[in-house]
Amino acid sequence: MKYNFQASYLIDAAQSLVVGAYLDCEHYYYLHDEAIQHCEILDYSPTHIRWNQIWRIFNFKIGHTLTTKYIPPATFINEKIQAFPIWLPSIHHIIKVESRSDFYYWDEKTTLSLFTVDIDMPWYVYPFRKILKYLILRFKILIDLEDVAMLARKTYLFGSKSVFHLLHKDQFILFKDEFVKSFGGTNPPLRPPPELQNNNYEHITEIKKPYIKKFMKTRYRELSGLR
Amino acid sequence: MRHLIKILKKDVPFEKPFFVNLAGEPGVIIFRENNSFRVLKNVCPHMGGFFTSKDYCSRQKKMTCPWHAYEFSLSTLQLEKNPSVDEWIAKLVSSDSHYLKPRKMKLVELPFVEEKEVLWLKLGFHEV
Repeated sequence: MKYNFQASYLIDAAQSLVVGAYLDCEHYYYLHDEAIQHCEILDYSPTHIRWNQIWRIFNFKIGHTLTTKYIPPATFINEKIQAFPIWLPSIHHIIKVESRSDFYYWDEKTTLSLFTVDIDMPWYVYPFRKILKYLILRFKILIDLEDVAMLARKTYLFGSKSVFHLLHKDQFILFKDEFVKSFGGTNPPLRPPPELQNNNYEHITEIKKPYIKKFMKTRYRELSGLR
Repeated sequence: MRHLIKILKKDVPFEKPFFVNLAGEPGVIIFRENNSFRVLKNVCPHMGGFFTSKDYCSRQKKMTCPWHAYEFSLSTLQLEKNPSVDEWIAKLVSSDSHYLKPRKMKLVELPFVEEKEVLWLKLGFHEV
């Protein structure tokens, strides 16, 4: 049975910085260490990466394998998600999840994030779809908030156009050639389609969810030094 | 906006960073070794990360940025290690890639005036 949902919210950072944060792999398992303890690269090409996201439990490495595709300038797709190791009893054996993140230019200092998830699940999992939705969204939003805290500080120190750190010749980021083509010149930004332009969106830091409020009072301040 | 900040020397602990955070300013870190002081910008030179007491290692005398885990020696102030080079970048680029070479970065030291019991810091956004 198919189930899909979308979440959209505004991020207080320029589109180039938000996309750059997604590609800036150097921070994945340090800043986001609660969500991603370790990564292993299986395959890497100019627009996609196949990798394991791993958690260590009692000396065992468990997690999942996925493919992340970058569609320039500002779209990411996570697909072909499998349990890792493959024999591990995992929900990935019974459900198939694909997610897409689109980051649209809203204004010079704001980006609209549109997160779309498609889940293919057997009938006996369907009653738990709302729990799955909650867990996936919570995971995504808490990772985004950690990035938002850092981008807020970066914007505060260097301005909303401080993408120069990522364009620096010695700075490694994933799919850098494509990123430079999209954000290193004067290309027009990716704007939201007309049906999304007139909606009212909440800022991610102001969404009324307990875990977001808790994050804002604790980790946001600790990471950004702001507020 | 400029601020003139008075720090009482007795408030600065030995061998531990002392963080001064100001509304509207990036903040500074003061280190005290014996009776000499050093004042550093609380800004990682890589991308501007914010250090807290959690990021200080007293055994190795280093600060680790909470964003990318770049490690800075407090004796030289230089970037000593980027853990992503071994754990991530080396697996994605060829062995002769310039991404594997150590980057030159340094924490920034700030001037201050020392008197008998106090340190005076002059901070303004553009200076910090």
